[in-house]
Amino acid sequence: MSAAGPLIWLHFRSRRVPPALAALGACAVALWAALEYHWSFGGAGGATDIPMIIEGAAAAIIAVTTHGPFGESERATGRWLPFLRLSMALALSGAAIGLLALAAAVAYSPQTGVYLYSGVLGVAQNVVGFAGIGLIFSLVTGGMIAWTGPLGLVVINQFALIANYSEPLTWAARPATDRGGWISAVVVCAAGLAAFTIRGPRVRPSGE
Amino acid sequence: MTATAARDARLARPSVPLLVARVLRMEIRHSAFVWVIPLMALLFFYDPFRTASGYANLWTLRTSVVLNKFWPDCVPFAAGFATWVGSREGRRNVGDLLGTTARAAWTRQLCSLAGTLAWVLGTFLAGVAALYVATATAVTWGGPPIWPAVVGTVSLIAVCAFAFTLGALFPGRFTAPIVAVGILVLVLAVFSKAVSQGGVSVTSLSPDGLVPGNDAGIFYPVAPDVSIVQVMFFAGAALGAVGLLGLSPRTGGVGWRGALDPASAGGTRLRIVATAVFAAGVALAVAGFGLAATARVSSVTGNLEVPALHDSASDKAIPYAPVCAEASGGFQVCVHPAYKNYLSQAVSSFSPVMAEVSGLPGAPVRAVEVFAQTLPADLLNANANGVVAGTPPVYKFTMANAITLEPNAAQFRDGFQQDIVHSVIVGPAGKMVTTQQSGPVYQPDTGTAAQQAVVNGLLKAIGSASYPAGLSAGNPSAQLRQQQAEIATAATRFAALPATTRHAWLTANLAGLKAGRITLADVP
Repeated sequence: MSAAGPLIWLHFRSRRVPPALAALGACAVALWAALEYHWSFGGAGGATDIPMIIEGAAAAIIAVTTHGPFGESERATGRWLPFLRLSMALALSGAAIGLLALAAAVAYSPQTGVYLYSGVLGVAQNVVGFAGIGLIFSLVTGGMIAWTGPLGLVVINQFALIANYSEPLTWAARPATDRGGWISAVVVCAAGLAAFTIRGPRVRPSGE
Repeated sequence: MTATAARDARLARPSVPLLVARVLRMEIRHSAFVWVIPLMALLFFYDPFRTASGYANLWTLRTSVVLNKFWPDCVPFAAGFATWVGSREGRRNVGDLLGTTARAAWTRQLCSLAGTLAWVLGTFLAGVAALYVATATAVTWGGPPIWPAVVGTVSLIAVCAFAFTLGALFPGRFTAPIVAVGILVLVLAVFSKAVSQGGVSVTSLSPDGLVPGNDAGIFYPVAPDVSIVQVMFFAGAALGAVGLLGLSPRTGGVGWRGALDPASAGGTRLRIVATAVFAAGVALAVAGFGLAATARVSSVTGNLEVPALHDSASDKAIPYAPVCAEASGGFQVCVHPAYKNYLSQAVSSFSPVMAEVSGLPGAPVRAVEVFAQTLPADLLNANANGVVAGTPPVYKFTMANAITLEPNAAQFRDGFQQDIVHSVIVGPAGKMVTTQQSGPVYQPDTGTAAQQAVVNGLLKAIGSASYPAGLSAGNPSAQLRQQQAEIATAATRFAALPATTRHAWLTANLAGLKAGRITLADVP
């Protein structure tokens, strides 16, 4: 067991987890600024549009960390790789939710109307759902361009906010207490986590 | 050198265009953008295509989704993939290796950018073509506007060039998603500003803006002023980004000092070209920005115009031959040929109301569609469709409010019927009054209680919704609520009368009713 710590650390470093945490920190700062300075695009999704994009950016960062530099050869190294993948995805999702929730808590000031409309529940729902899409995309496109999945879903949800569309994948445009939205997000996250844990990201011929 | 050796040398060294074509082909074949095309197709059908299919069958309106919906769909992915390709050499740490190649880094990078652009523009133009073909099968008048496609293409080139340069300057696996999200936020923020300011001044640079009115490009041509300014600005931005790419030492260029130093590497021609491209780009973008600051709404056409570029030919009305049909009693309804698809719907809206009011003093003898801008703006803001005016009275109407972004047959019918009944029984829909607090404001004239009862009775008889009561927001007083209940009762009573009885009563009493001499109790 003494080798577990260095193994996890090496795995995380090879996936650029430290810079990813810094990028997630930047997302948290952006969320704090968006709440503190009342950034909004206006219109129907006034209170949720910017936080949703920031949550999508956090998920995109998580998706990009799925790429490993060792390609196929890493798959022959033993039975711990799936657990390392799972632990990294869970750790980064948890860190993203925690950092964004912390940013919302720091900015929280109901007297001046500064608070996260969807609450921490909404942050958690969106981060796990968007990250799940990112993990699924990493199986198809490879980890380095898996950010397209969360980004595409964010764009769809922005349209859903504006045009009032309601489909299973538009949970981010619905209230955080919506049960159907939670079911969709959790199913997507579970499917993404399971598939990513078992198969790992696609390794393209270019190594990316 | 013998002739054979010279021929072999020519064969061994292909021409520059052939080399460029080979590199470009390789870039296109290996582009990762192909992975995102299914997602782009999903996005295209999810919003732009679905939205356009719901809009009225009019070229300008339907094709507005090219820039309002499809363009913002493409932007984050175009930016992300351009960044991704731009950061490739830095990400893979092959800068030193590629430093030994015969061609300048700039040439190589422009081929990579062109490969990405081929996919981005191919996807964008395929979507535009699908939209235009679908629109062409639905519209009855006019032709496809070219400017949305041109502006979209040039602005996507600018987005890709800018993002590519960012990728080359800051290579890394996180650069692409960060740039994509950053540009998405920027696009949405500028769009929001453009909508809130009506798209005038510098916000006119946003390709993504307000949805045009139904009459845009129908009675008057859409002036290309703003599109030209947008093309100038984005072409300048693209050239500036490409020039920067050639100059920055971080991307393999000659550097800022190198650009001015005749002894620096990269070759004199490369330095001159990169500097000239950068300078021309900045100049063009600044000129575009300056011109956009003067953009304003034309009082004649309602279009955005830029005075320095404006061609007075854009202010001349487009000649057309109206299409007409007859409603009941020979009541003629004429519309612009662009609205030919809505003529039968208009006729069936006018028929029942004209059967009720024809022959009464002030009843229109025909209905003619006119340009929305020629009707009082406040009338349109009050959601009316037109006015009855002239001798003999003619109902001049617009489709601006009748056909909403999500067409509603009941709203279409009720609007015309309410206008005509109100005009015959009460008179003009309202008037401008000057108040001390807020200056000139539009004051709707809903009429006396008896007039309201007759108006609503007639509308009820023909199956139309009641005329908007014009109640102020909030909880009406008990007295007002009681009066509204009495009006509703009288309206129901009047609607229940046989049509001939109603008409006979109106013929005998309309003058008194309009003059306010008839009370609610007098309404049969």
